[in-house]
Amino acid sequence: MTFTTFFALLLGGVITGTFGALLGLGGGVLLIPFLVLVLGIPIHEAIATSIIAVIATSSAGAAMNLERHTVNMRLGMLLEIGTVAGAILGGVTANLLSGAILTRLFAGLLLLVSLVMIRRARAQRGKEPIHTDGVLPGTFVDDATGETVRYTVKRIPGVLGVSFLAGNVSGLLGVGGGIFKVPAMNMISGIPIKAAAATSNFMIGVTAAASAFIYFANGHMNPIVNATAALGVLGGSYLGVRVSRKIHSGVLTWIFALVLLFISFELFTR
Amino acid sequence: MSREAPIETELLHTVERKASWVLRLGVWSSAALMTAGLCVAAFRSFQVTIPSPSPSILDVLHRLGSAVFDPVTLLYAGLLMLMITPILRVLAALVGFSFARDRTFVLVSLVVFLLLMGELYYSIRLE
Repeated sequence: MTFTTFFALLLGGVITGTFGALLGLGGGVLLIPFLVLVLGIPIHEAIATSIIAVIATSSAGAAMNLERHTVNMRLGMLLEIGTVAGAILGGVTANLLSGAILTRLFAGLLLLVSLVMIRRARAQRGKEPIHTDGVLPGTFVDDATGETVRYTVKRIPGVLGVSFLAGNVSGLLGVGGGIFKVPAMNMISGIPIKAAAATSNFMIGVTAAASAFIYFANGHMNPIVNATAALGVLGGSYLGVRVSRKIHSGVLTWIFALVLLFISFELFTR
Repeated sequence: MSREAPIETELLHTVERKASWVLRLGVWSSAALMTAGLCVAAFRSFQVTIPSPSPSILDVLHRLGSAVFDPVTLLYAGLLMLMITPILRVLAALVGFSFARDRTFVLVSLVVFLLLMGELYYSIRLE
């Protein structure tokens, strides 16, 4: 490795970490294309690096979000049963499907989710419907408005099923799975998007840790690449969480939807 | 999990603070190890040899136990520290919910913890 590659890795980590924390993506969906297409790192090594970066983003972001009480910890723990089981099964499924089929399935799902999110963002016009007749109540202060938001969770089995799918995709492709969980928690369970993003971010580290040991055992970890990207992502995730306090939910939904559309297009045209 | 018997907000906040503390400790100690490893590697112009095949988890732990602190061992130790941080967070939640006497979420945390332990055991067997 040269000093130029080192600084490129560090900068790439900072940028993807910022967006990962801001959008509840975990950074993996942005980091893998950067590592493979820009730096020419082999895909297995890139996925392993992404998983390490995802753990760093999730852990750093979750520590801050827990203290701000944006995370619905009990819901997160419950959904982790689905994501961890899904991640384990994902490793098995990856051996049964070809990479091309997986890539197109992933692109199709991203496109679907992004279109639903855009429809919802246009309909809600920045104001989210809040349910108070569910379970696992949560309360947090929205820094953008200064308002205390109280909500409850509805239709847990539905979002648990999506969490299993998210964990499965995480195990297959090395992404955090927040791209599925955040909209599902928001649309199915009626959780405000900031709480959904924080709770998803909280869960992502555990999901990624489940597959990280498999990559370690298979010798796909390059410690210099992993550590440089992870430290960059750590810096970026701190920045992303601070910026997210000042952004309105409606704006966040729009950014999230557009990022998904872009990634979907990139995957379809590969 | 029902609406009638939620654990008290202050107890839940205590569990959240403990989990947050574990995450911070894990991330900062991992970052310290990785930064130390990268600094030594940079001092050597990144001309360090990555062992092939990669060391096993047990090898890294053994080298640390033997006070071998070369850049590669420091980097692997930092990576492993980061990888076990979420597992330690689940353990912290398990203990926290036990103190809060929230049986439902003690069980939930235990299931997640056992799934992760099973995965870790499988990985060590794979090496």
